[in-house]
Amino acid sequence: MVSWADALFLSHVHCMIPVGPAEVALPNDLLEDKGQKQAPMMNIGLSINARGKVYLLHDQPFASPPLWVIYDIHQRRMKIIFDNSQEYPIHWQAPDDAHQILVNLKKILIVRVLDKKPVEGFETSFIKCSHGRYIDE
Amino acid sequence: MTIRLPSTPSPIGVKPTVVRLDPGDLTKLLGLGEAAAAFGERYPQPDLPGYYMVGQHPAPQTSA
Repeated sequence: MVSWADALFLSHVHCMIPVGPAEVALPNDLLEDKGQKQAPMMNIGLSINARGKVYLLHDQPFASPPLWVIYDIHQRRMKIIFDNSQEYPIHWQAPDDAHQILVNLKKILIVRVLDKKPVEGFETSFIKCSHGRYIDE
Repeated sequence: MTIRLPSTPSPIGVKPTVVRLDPGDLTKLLGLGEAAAAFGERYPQPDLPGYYMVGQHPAPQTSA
């Protein structure tokens, strides 16, 4: 169990951890230090290269290949759809500069990174939706 | 490289291709090596143009 004092301290060490006793999600290495286990967490990053190609980076394997990514152009949020019909919403809102790229994107490359190296990638369609309707381009 | 045709049509009614890339293919992609290195650092926020920390999410379930 993580005390409130520990949570406050850790939230200052790791800027990605939300502050608040009910919402504190600790990286697994810290949990193991404290003798605790939880479901594996996956780090996600997004990178746009000089030619506008977008890489969605992650560090945990998927159970099934990704089929496509849906981007809600109003909420500015993405969702990965897998071959086994699982949906994986990504709780990140694209800032203005990224949104300008994403709104015109047709393909995205989903890349698993291990030890700071890309080890596996899937290039999938990037489908936009607006107010619950898919945009056929 | 493997080109895969999904059995399920996408929401827009087409069958988009999914291209699987192995590490050899990935090393040829512009900026991916730098992005992967920045992603591996995680803390503090990598200072790489065009890079965004999306955050930490529960990993997808490993069984269907």
